[in-house]
Amino acid sequence: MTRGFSELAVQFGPSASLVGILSRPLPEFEVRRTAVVILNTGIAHRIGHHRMYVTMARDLAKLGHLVFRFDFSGIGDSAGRDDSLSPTDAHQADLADALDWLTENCDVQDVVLIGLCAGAEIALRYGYKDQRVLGMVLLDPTVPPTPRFYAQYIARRLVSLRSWLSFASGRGRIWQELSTRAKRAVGAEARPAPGTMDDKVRNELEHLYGQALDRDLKLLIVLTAGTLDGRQNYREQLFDALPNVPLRGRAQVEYYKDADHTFTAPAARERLQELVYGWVGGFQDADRVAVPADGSIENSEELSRMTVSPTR
Amino acid sequence: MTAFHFGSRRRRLFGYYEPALDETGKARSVLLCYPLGNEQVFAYRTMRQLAARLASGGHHVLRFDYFGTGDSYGESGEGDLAGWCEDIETAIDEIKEISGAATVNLAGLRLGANLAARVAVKRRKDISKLILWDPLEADEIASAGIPAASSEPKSKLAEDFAKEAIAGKAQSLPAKTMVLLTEQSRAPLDFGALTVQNVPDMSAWDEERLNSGSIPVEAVQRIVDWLQ
Repeated sequence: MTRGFSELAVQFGPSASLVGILSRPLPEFEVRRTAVVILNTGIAHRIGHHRMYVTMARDLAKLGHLVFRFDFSGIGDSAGRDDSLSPTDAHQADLADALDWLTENCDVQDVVLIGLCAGAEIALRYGYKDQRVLGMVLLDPTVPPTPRFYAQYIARRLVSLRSWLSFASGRGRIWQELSTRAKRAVGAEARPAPGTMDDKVRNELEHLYGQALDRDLKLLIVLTAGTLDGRQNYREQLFDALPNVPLRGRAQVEYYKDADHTFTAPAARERLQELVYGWVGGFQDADRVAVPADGSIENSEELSRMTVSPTR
Repeated sequence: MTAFHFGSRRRRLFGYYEPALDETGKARSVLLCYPLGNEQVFAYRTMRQLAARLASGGHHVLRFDYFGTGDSYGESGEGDLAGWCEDIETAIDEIKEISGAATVNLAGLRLGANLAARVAVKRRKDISKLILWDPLEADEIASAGIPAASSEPKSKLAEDFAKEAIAGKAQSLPAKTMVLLTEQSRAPLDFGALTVQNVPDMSAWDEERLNSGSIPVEAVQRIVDWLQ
């Protein structure tokens, strides 16, 4: 029998102001213990660029996982919060609300977070604090530049035809940029000066990754390098950028040399999806999770109109 | 506000319904028709704001994803023009049932405008006013994310789509049709006797809209005003 899925539109959070979509296996199939929560990319709503998260959620549901995609407050269909939390704190509170909804309505205790770019950062900030989180898929998280990054950046710019034309015509921006980056490449700025913004970012990332490793969270980190102005351009950049965290050997780091930041090429998305499905599937199933009581779309016309009341 | 699925088992659609905040007199409703592909992602915030302002102005508003797009069922690439028009008709029936309105105002952006125009001709008795916001011109198909969302061969799609261009079809559209243009057309287009409003601005579906979180305020206000 072909495995299927069904979906439920959910309104949750303190004022039922957050909107999400729960994807789940059809009732005749066993639900796996590990649920997946997919976070917004920046302020793009929950379907993701190229509808990537919809595909991912449905495929994972067909494989037996409960998958929840939702919009943070103020993004997509979710209203802003009534409290005075900062955006960073609001994201953390929204994510806690999402996991609480899954726990209270679907008995979910084990969760994997998936986030791209800003979504990866939110996951990284949250994951270590919630015992339900077992792992995180971080797609193009922030990776600070390193001397080798700058050197390779210059090399890549120099071999591009457009850059050569600009270079030959002596346009200021290219010269200025090359000069600045060349200084960094020779090591003068291998480590940002203490107290600078770059240094603060690096320290914070090392702290967050350190916390995640202390909690023994599993990490799958996918880095893209398919655009000239991307944030990383060699496989080991994350390790070099954060030398005080023992990520090497503890995190699975994949390097997609030809993929752009939003995985525009279908082949890159397919490769990513297969990687994620396999990785999420690697979590152990200790026991069965209760299926939400409302069944599947095949059974209930009422369900199509169902929204779920706030649970907190 | 309610997020829900509707439609047949064969074509399950995701919709978001916002009831009128201040309803006086007989019920008025607006159905918003999205653009396609990443244009939908980039314009989502704008369409949400438009829906909120219309609801504040006394309209019941439904926006929804076509089959095979957004949160609706169906694989990306399963859609076609005829099916998406069928989805708009389903949504018209849905909002009439939910809101109690006898007729519906249709507002479409980009491909949503072209599809709304086709449906407005077919369902003339159900449509009060029609708003065509930067409808696609015949040769814009490749840049509007349609090939990736459609099951039809690109050549067939282009052939079909050429028939959907708005220019030159004014006489077949409802009399209360407004064409809202924020883009500069590459060539002067003939919209006949239709109301045409020009509001030069960055396109609602431009990626910069997503990155900056901005919305085309004046264009949105023109729509709200025209529907009052």
